[in-house]
Amino acid sequence: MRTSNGQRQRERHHKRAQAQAPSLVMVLAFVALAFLLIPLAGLLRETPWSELPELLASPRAIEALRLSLVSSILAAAVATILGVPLAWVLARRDFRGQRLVRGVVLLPLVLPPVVGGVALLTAFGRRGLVGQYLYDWFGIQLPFSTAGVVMAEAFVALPFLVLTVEGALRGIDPRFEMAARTLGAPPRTVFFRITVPMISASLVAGIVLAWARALGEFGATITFAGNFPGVTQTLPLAVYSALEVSRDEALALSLVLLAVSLTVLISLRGRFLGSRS
Amino acid sequence: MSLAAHITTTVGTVTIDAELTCHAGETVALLGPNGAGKSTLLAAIAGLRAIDDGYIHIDSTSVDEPARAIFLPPEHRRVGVLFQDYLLFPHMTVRQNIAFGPKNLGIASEGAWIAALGLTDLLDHKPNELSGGQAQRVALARALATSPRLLLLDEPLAALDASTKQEVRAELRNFLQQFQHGTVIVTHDPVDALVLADRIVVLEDGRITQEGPTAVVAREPRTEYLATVLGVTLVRGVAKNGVIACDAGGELITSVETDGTVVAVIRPQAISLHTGKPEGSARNVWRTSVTRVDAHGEHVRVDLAGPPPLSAAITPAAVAELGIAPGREIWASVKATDVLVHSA
Repeated sequence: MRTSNGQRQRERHHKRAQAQAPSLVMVLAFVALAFLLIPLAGLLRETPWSELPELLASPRAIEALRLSLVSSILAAAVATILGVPLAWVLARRDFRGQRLVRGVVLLPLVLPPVVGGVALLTAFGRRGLVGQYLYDWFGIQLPFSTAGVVMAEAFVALPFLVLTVEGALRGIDPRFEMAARTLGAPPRTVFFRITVPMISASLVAGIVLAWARALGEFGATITFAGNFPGVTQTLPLAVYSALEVSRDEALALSLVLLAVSLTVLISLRGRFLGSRS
Repeated sequence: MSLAAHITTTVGTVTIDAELTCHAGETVALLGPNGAGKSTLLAAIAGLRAIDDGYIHIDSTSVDEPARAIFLPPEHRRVGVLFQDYLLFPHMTVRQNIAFGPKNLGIASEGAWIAALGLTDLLDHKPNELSGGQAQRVALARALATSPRLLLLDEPLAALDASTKQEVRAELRNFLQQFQHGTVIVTHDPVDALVLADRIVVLEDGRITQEGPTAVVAREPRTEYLATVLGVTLVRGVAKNGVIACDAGGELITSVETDGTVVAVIRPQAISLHTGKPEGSARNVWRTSVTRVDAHGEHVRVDLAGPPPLSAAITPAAVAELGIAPGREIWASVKATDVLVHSA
């Protein structure tokens, strides 16, 4: 007991030395934390727990859940298939205008999603830059379709994947790739058997981040793809629509999204954006 | 001929221009200070960088020849490379690391080395579970599994600690004596070159400054760099009637009648130090002062102001007995037969 008392006293003593943060900073830090937590508490408090199974089983909810899952997984796949090569080029090649390219890649991160949606319309709409040919030649109409949802989600999710993977690629010694070449591996084999496995942890983190971003996408989706139940109405859109008719349903759907976000955050832990703790 | 090359290329401020050959079964050490361009030569031979001019022939096949627009990528050269820090693929087991090359080339794995290198029990381990010496043997087996026509070793012992270095060096020597193709070793450690190589090529500042059989190069260093790493002193001068007028001042009496421009090699152990003028058979006796005292393992290196400036190696006991310290006036002597003269 004597030792544990002494230990506690020592800890208090050490804390006194650490307590150098101005009290104003401590107060504001606490306010910030409260600002982040109180809305979540509100959501949890008002959630109609007893009717939850019923609410989530409504046709609208099930449709939105199904559509959200399908479209976000497809969007994450698109982001991965296109994003990994782009990250490789950014990490491994030096070329003119590289900074500009990186800027373009980062743009969807800061661009208001609704602007992204408008931009997608002007590009892939029926009279858009590319969309007019897709429609005239192939009869393909992307806006207001499930494919449009996937495109809008992939558009906003891509930077998350590229950033994570590029960071990981920069972290591995390119001489591993050289060693593989001397062992008879052509560049393609090096990429798939050496490079990708060596960044697998970050790649998974990037895919999960991209998927989570796609799942939560709202602005670009509603602008480019509209809000049609069963076709383009994903979970966030369903929350928005439900808010006008059934507050309880909106709360229930919100809870689903919150649960998914928390799960993603916990599963990624120290791996956020490729930095390991 | 495993390798015949004339490589001209530029890295940063160093222009490399070197001719290099390696016969089948021969081990050639590329010895030189850091930044001399050794690793660049190795990368060029392996195909990891293109040369500006010249040619690289491996087994009489041209693999890089700018004038004829030939460039064979590394995966088609069949050159085995042992990298300095081994670069074992961390996500693969030892077995998978070794199988990687043969699988790419669509050939049967040259598995004999696995047992010969004592790796049979390590096959299912991951690289991070291996000691430095084991990792080196795995990297060697991995390079050999592709049945290379030429083996390149980049500082093969630099990543090991001093205690394992000795043992691994002996193993490597054993292996190289059995290896039928040519081997080029890049090293900045003269001991590696002396123990492992049949022939030493000295590369300084992108140029070859000396080359020859290991024993000859060790006995007759012609450059200051080589003399320094071998622990001997090099004296340049003009000899006439058995006396060298040293370029740095002073004279040295020799036992041979070589005339003209010469380099003389003097081992530090051959120089004796005395408090008073020595009486004896040594033909070279002069009074000088100590400029520097350095402990080197079991002996102490004493730099003398000259002329000519030389270094002596004596025991710590002698240092105490003679009261040696920088600035101390002292007598030095060396026998004429210990001045090894070569015409420059």
